[in-house]
Amino acid sequence: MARARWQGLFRLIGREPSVEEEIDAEVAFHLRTETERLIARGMSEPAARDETLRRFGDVQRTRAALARISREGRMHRRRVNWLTDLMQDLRYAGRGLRRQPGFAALVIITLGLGIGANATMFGIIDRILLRPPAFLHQPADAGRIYLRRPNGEGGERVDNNISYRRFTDLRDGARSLATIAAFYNDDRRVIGTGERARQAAVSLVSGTFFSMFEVRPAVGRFFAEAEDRLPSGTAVAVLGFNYWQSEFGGDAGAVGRTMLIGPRAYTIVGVAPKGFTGMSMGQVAAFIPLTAGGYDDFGDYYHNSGYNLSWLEVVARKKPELSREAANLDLTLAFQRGRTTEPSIRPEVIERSRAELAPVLVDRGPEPGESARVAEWLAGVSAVVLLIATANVANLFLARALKRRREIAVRLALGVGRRRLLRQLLTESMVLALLGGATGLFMAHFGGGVLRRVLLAEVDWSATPLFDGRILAFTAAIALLTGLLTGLAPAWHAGGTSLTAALRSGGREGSRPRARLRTTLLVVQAALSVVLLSGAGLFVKSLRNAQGVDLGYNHGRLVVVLTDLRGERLAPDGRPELTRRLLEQARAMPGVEQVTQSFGIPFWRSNTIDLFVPGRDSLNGLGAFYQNVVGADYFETLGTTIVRGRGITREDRNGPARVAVVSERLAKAVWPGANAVGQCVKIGADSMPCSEVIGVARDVRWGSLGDDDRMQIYEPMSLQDSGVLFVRAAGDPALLAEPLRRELQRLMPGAAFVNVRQVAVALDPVLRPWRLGATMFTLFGTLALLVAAVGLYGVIAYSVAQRTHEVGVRMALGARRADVVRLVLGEGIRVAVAGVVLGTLAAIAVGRFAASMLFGISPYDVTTLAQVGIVLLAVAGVASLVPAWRAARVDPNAALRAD
Amino acid sequence: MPRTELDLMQGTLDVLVLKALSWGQRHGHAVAGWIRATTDDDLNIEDGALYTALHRLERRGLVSAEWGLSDNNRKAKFYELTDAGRGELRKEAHRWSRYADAVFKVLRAQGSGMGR
Repeated sequence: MARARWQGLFRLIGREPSVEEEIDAEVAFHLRTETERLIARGMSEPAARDETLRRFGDVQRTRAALARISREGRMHRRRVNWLTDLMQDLRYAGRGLRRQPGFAALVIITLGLGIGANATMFGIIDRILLRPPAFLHQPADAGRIYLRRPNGEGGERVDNNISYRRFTDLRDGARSLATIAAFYNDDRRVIGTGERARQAAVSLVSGTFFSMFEVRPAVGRFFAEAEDRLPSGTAVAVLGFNYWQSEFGGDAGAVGRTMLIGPRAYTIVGVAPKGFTGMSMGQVAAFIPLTAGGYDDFGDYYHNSGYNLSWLEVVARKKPELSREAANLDLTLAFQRGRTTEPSIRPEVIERSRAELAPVLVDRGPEPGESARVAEWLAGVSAVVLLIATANVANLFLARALKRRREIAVRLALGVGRRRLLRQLLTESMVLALLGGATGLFMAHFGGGVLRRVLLAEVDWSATPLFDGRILAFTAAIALLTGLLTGLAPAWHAGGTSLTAALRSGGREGSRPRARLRTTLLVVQAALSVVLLSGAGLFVKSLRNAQGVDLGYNHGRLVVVLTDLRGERLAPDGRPELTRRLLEQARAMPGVEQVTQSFGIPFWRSNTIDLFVPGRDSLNGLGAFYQNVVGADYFETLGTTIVRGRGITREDRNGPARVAVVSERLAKAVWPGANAVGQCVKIGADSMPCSEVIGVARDVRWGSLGDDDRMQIYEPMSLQDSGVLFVRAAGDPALLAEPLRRELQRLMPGAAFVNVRQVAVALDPVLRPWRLGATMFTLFGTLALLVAAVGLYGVIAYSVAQRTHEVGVRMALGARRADVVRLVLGEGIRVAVAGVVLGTLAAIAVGRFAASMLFGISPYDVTTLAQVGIVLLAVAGVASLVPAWRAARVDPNAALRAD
Repeated sequence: MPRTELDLMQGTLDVLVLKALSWGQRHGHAVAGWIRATTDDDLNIEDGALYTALHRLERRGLVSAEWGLSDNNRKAKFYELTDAGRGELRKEAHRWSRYADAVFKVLRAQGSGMGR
């Protein structure tokens, strides 16, 4: 049937005869007529033919010349016709839309919402997933190095955090690389002195780093490998362009000056060009040699601690003549050779270790970040919104086309070609779609900026314009596609218009197949709304679950205090003295309940360590052990319950006996069925003396919310150790933070720096995926529901208007108002029920992809799906109630008299 | 045919063809016949060149064409002057007669004309 319909649409488009056919016909006519004329004058036939040809000249050449001229003419004529038709269509479309401004506005806004959402999402995805870092040299050969290692449970661990020693293993061992560079992006390094001191992003990069890029300094020079030498490098810095502009006013004289970066004075040797951020998504204030920055942070530990400190990321560019597989194999061999020097590692583990050159963008690599998943989901959701908007607009067009049935039939009868008609309809929808696209860009401009900052805050957007060529091209493309789709609905309708039927009939009788198409579109909208609303429900509940999760400590009232000495030298006993004074000062503050020290920070910093138990072969197979070094009253301050034994006290700090507290999970894994308290555990190496387990603490979730199988061991911290302070506020920690910072800063010597943060704030990025999902799905789901409800209302109201006569007859025959209401209501509810059923099935189908993003709730949660179904039915009921009520008030006399 | 002659011919042909059509609709064969009869076949124009001229004029919008039936009931392509074509004929005819007058003035000139 559909085929016949399309053929109907095109059936009056006759084929134009080809240029050659016309010319041949013309020339043949001439030759024949001339020959006959000559014969009539008494020539013999052969002579007449010869004479005719002689007079004509070269027939082939003439034909070719004529063909060329005609073709040019035809093309020109077509262009002119096309243009005049287009102008006419545009005028016609403009007139039509001016006549129905409400319709036009509704369509433009609906499309604007859909297109705007997609334009915004495309901008985000383009930045995160599609665009390689600026200036990257030969991006096709470049990559980020990932290591794959077998974990205890037969799977593998993939990561791109690499120790300095591993970096040198790969650098010196791999022959397939043109260049390899390591870097560490420190987002919060204190730079500058005095009032100008602030935290800024500093990239610690190896001397080879700049050779990864095709880039020249704006001023001065980059640093070289000779300045990135063990152990502490040369204190030279390359400034980021924007930092140079804001702090030095773009003065070239900045080169040669020195500035404090972290604890050391660095000499500025150059300025990176505008837009260069290295491997960071955000602005970078300065680039310094890896060895220099590493030494500032960790002393010699960063290079002489073997493979323990995995703080680097490594990028490389393979030699162009080698395949990626060859490069991966070469890297793997270098990795495995290095592993043979690692202590206590079995050969089969080494054998199954792999290294690979994966995409440079983390979010396209084997371990995509959270923002990649967020972006993908947002893209999916916005695409669904666009689909709903398109379906709705198509429906509006259909309703309008029905009203214009007679007009169209009249135009067809007057000889307007179907093709022209189709073009007119398409022009109209294209004009609307493009206006919708413009509106969408407008919305993206205002909404998009906010969305980017709120949803993906860690990406620096200042370097990315809200609109660029790619976004504009993308928007134009989806606008045109939408225009085409929405225009095809009424065109489809026009294709099926039977002239006589439309002219004969009044506007009254509805046409069944068309009503079915409109109903189908409504059902699709309802179903998509159900999918989005289910997502909203699931994410809202996930967020609630995530917020309510018991971390094993009372994070809501905790404030963490970080200190940064920035190279200020203290007297031999200065460090413990400073720590003691900070602890005392904090404890004395009003509003402070308790204070302790810790090395680890929730959702931010933790450490793994090897454990050994005398008489046991290896604990390696049990998984990773996490270590924290903590001060006295640690468990009391954090609110982590001690289940057995006791916590760490002031006396454990520097006492002769080595003690440790373990988590329940660790106790159960290492000493199953036995009492952990009193056991001996060796921390760090087999050669260490025994530490006695003095207590078992409740499990904590420290690295992530799902981190419920973490095996944790706590050791007492001495005042000599540097760590952070945990402060428990009696009331709102937000109110405590600033006064606390001011008080403690007074105790810091010289340029040293205190930073105070709420632990709950650190938890924000952890909760963000759910908050984001909940917000976006709720926003878009509500939008979709609204659009679908308006669409349903429109269709039912229209159908009621069409059936006034029928209703009148029914009522004249004795139907009661309630019957009429039931009749109309039933129509809306049927659509809604179909939508709910289809939508629920679709939600279940896509649910398994969302499962990993939900927290504490199944994607098939019956309650949520049922709630969504009820909401949709209720909205559909309300949307049909108004027309139903109107139908019930039909005056049978008036209805029957009319028409 | 040498090139210069062709170039000269094109402009000339156009005028001839336009003139041939100034009495109303004609097909190509009739145009050729009329020109041949009127010039006593002195110009010796190839019919193919006439058709090229007709098509060129059509392309320029100076004549319009449509298919119809000839006297002997055959399908033939009929040409007709458009308004633009009529204007062009007027303009070209004027130009040609001024040109021809000038040439004649030269050819009929008596004496060298130097000095008063």
